[in-house]
Amino acid sequence: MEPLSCVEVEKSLWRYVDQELSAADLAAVSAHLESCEACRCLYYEQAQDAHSCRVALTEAGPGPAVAARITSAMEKAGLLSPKEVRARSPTWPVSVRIAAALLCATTVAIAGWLLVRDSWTVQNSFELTSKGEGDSSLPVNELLGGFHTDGVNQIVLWRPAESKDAVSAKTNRQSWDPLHRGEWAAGDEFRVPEGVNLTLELVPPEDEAESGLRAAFRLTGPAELSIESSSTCADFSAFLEAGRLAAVVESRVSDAPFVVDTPQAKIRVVGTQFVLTVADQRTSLRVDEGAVAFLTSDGLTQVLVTSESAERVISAAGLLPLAADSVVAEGVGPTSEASPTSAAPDEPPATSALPVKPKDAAGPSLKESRGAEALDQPVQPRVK
Amino acid sequence: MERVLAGEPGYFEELVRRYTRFGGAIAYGVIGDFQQAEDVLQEAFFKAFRALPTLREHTKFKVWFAGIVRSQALDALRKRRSYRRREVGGGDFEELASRSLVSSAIPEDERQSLSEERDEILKAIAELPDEDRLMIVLKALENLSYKEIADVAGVTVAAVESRLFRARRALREKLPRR
Repeated sequence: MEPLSCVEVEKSLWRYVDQELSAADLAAVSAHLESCEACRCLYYEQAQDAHSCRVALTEAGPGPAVAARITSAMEKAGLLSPKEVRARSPTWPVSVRIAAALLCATTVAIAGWLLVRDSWTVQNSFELTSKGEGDSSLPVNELLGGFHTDGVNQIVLWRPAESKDAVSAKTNRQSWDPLHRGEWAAGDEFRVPEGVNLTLELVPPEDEAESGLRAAFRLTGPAELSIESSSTCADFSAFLEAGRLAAVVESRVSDAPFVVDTPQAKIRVVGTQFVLTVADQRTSLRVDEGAVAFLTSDGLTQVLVTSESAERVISAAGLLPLAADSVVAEGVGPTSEASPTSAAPDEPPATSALPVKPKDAAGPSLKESRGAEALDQPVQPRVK
Repeated sequence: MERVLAGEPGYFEELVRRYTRFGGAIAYGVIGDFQQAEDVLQEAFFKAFRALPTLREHTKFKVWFAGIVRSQALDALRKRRSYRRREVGGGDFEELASRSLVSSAIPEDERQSLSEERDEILKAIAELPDEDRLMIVLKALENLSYKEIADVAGVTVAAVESRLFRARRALREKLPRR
């Protein structure tokens, strides 16, 4: 890679701060910043400016109190009363509704049979139990597999037979019907107990198949993950409170973000396989393929972690320096004046061997290569 | 969205909670006044609620709602300018301490302790040209990508980058080095 000049870096610096650079440009700018103190100072100034604006506007900007006032005003205007809202829905004669119900039941039965027939990794039957309307705590009773269709986000739950703990999911759906028993949605929260794996798949709807994100990610319990309520297949974000997340992300478009926040850090995936672990007030990241931008939660420090990099760690003190015996990655960016604690990984590499399809390249898609299954495959530790 | 259209109670409230910050960022970005931005946002939610049955692609709610907020905000801006000379800077931000979007939720002592630096930054942002301020606010408050900002503002990605650069340079000139 041709090294960049200071002038070139300065031109790209705001795009670097705004995370708008391609993986190659990000690596090139990071490499320059590591070696050029003047540009590094400029980067810190710009990152600080962006951070200050963000803090000031967030403190003064609209929050829950505004939403409450608006909701209250709408209720006073009669817009949100259940009676008036319901009046907007068409009312059909009873005979038509019965006929429709019968037609739906038949369709559901046929579709269910087709889905099960075409399903993959179905290992056993399973049952999700809703504790009632509005209460979405959903214990999982059996070892289970999943099925795969386009247009919905599938949940696949593995549960060792010896485990009696339940996976619970808080979902904004009032019930999970049998057909869509595995569906999850933006705003859902997952708490996975120890000894249980939870695999989620992100599958874009048919009309966004060419542009949306396709991903599979595995939570290893104990873990807690919340899917941001505004997430879509074109803009996915989640919060990993604790636990280990292994993921395969395939992005068909360069600007479709896949972002995971943790209490200490933020990552923005460029198209990759990675493992993110939150434990002991530290967030560690290992990238198996591709590249991931790894940022401190205040956004002031970022580093590009690639498959050639050693595992990197962010704690409350910032980005921790590489361990002395680690291989220094290509494209490592500026690091904070963090504590000199060793960033040596606390567990051996072990995760997915799924070949990720490069953008616009031929090869198996995530669906074709059964992404969630691939997360189960044992792999050899990477050789540096 | 289907549940909102089906008239299930509680679901539009969820949309209000989910999109208040996003809509508020657009409204404030266009107008530069927090109180008016809240009024505009409320009107936009009223309008969106009434027009929701006309939204054909439910997955496009965010973009559709952004258009409503921006249109309402531009209308409000035009009306304000037709009635009085626009107050920029001090006038608006003397009001800010007592009338910001969150002021009623912040205790008096906490409000007083908000930093001077924050107020200086907000004042400088409010004084930016309208088209530049919208870029800064959407980037800082919502962390939208250049493409997303371009979609909301109805301009090109290149224009977004150019305006963001110009706005940041202006802010740097106005704000003392910290």
